Amino acid sequence: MPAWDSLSENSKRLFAHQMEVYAGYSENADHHVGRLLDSIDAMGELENTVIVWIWGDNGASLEGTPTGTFNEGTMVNGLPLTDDEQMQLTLKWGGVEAWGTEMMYPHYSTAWAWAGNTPFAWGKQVASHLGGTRNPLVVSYPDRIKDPGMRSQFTHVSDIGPTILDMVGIPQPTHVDGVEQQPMTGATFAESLEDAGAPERHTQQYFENFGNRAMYKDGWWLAMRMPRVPWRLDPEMLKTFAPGVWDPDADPVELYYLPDDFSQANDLAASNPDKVKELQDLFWAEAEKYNVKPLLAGFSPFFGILPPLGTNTKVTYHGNVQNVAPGLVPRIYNHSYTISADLHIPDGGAEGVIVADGGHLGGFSLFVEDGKLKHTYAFLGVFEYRQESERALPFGDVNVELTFAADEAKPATPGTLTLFVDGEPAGSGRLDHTVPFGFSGYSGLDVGQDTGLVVDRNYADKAPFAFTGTVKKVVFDVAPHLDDQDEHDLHEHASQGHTVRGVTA
Amino acid sequence: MSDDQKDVLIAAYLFEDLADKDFGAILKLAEDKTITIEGAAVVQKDPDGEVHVTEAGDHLGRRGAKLGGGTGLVVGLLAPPLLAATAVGAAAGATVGKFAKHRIESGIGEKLDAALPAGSGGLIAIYDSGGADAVDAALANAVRKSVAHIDGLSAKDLKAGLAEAQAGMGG
Repeated sequence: MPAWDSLSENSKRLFAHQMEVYAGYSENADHHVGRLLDSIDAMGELENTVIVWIWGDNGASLEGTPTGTFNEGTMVNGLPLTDDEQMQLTLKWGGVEAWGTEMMYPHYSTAWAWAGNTPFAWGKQVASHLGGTRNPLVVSYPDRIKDPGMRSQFTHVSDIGPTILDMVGIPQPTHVDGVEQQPMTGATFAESLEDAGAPERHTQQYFENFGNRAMYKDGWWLAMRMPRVPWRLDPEMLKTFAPGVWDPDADPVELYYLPDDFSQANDLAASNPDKVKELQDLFWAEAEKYNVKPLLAGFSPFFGILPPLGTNTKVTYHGNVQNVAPGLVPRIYNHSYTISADLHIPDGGAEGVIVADGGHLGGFSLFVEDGKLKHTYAFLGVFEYRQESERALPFGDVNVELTFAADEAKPATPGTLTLFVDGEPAGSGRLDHTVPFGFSGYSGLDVGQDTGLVVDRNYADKAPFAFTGTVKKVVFDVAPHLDDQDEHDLHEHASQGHTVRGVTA
Repeated sequence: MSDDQKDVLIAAYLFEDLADKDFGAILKLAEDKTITIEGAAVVQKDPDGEVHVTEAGDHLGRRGAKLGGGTGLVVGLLAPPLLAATAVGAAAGATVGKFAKHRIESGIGEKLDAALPAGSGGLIAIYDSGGADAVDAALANAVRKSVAHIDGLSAKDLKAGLAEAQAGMGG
């Protein structure tokens, strides 16, 4: 992470704005939670309501890369961007004022995450340290908590359920709808809310997240961080953690005693080898008990261990299908594919979207405008590729199709996109870059319109730009001309992409 | 390089005050006679895509020069539809055709549109091509830069067109 003084004036300003936007988000969340509390108060139930407020689901995220990014999708897809490129792309999508609006999918720089987690070290993904695991917790229940203030008993997120059940007097369920339930692993901390001096109930806890580990017991914390920074999730880096290559017990360890060392500043490992060994052994026992092993199973696609290969390569959508979730959209990445549609165009013509996936920060749209068949491919907000038919579409029943002929079956392959009308070539163009993992983590696929944020901002003023004729069906063929090796290689790549998505979720 | 060769620079900024800072650096180069400029202007492209001149400088490196004189060529290049009509006055409309022709031939219009997204700030300058390196070095804060070349003849035509426009404004 660069030192502040080493940054250009532009970078300083942009970095500052990144944090301003985050602060704005925090203010917004606070405001709306306040509205909820006001409503409960207006009902006269505030004193009799248990409110549990946890600020975050992990430490601040370090996934924005050292520059911060206008589109987190670039990191997910392994597209490195320089400071200058980030600024140019920020300018492209509306400048600093658009950072934090729907025009971007931004993430602040790793340095801000580091600062935000202070006084703790590290952040999201790094379960070995409190920067990745400790969040502020506030509990309000005026009818029962008569001595509000700070509490220092160690608690874990798994304690929340048992605590609520305890406070409201409901036993933990052993069966739900006839299905036997696993026992809750947490312990109630209700007693500590009423009595600041109550004993600590949650006396030991393992932590593990994609290989980063910690073991807590009776105030002692053993940190076992794998040598990987959170924003490096590429195959080259992950090779170093393959089975037989990485020995987790050889990772450096740090030992802290939290009652005396809130921020994990005083590493006691060297002077307490017995405690280190005790906690290392306890971690492995807990890992066995709670199905943590095999360690790094989540990264298995990077080690040649893949889920079964799907056999269905053709998907047909009939009628007005909307918002198919990203993970369910036919995978058109890294190889040739075709998408065809049967349309009915009334006399006088039609316009609108036939099928669209994602948005302007990653996606594609096949649509009709000015009588012509058009295709836009949004490469992560970095490039837009557009093709259109040379002539207008006829009226009546029409079949349109696009084919993407990949130069090679490989991640991010370039290729040639050709439009067809009733089987005849009608226009073509190059896609010099294609998205290797996924267009979007949120925006889905629509047939007959482009809901939410549109793929091509040129028709944003007509959104959702519903097709004014009829889209009878849309057919994806996602595996034309693949040989077995290509199919395997791309499946491996897709599985790795899903893993990265999971890590950054 | 011949002084007949002019460069039209379009630089885009994330922060308008940094455009103003670079604008000052360009004027300083002109004042010191390190480069010869026809003029320079800080512009703002509003959310509707209209370009407004917020600051202008003349060939002597003087800041705050009013429209006309040495700054005119810069402003002239931005004549409608690129420049908001309110910024140049209705009289400039008389020469829209002439300016538009040169904009198309030099590619300035496309470069301006590409370099300055709606809502952003920019710096426009016209200077003798021999000063290109000095100008480039002075633009410490530009996020994106684009340069179009115009030959002396075009520049002369543009000046003539501008004079015509100014006469109209004066009347």
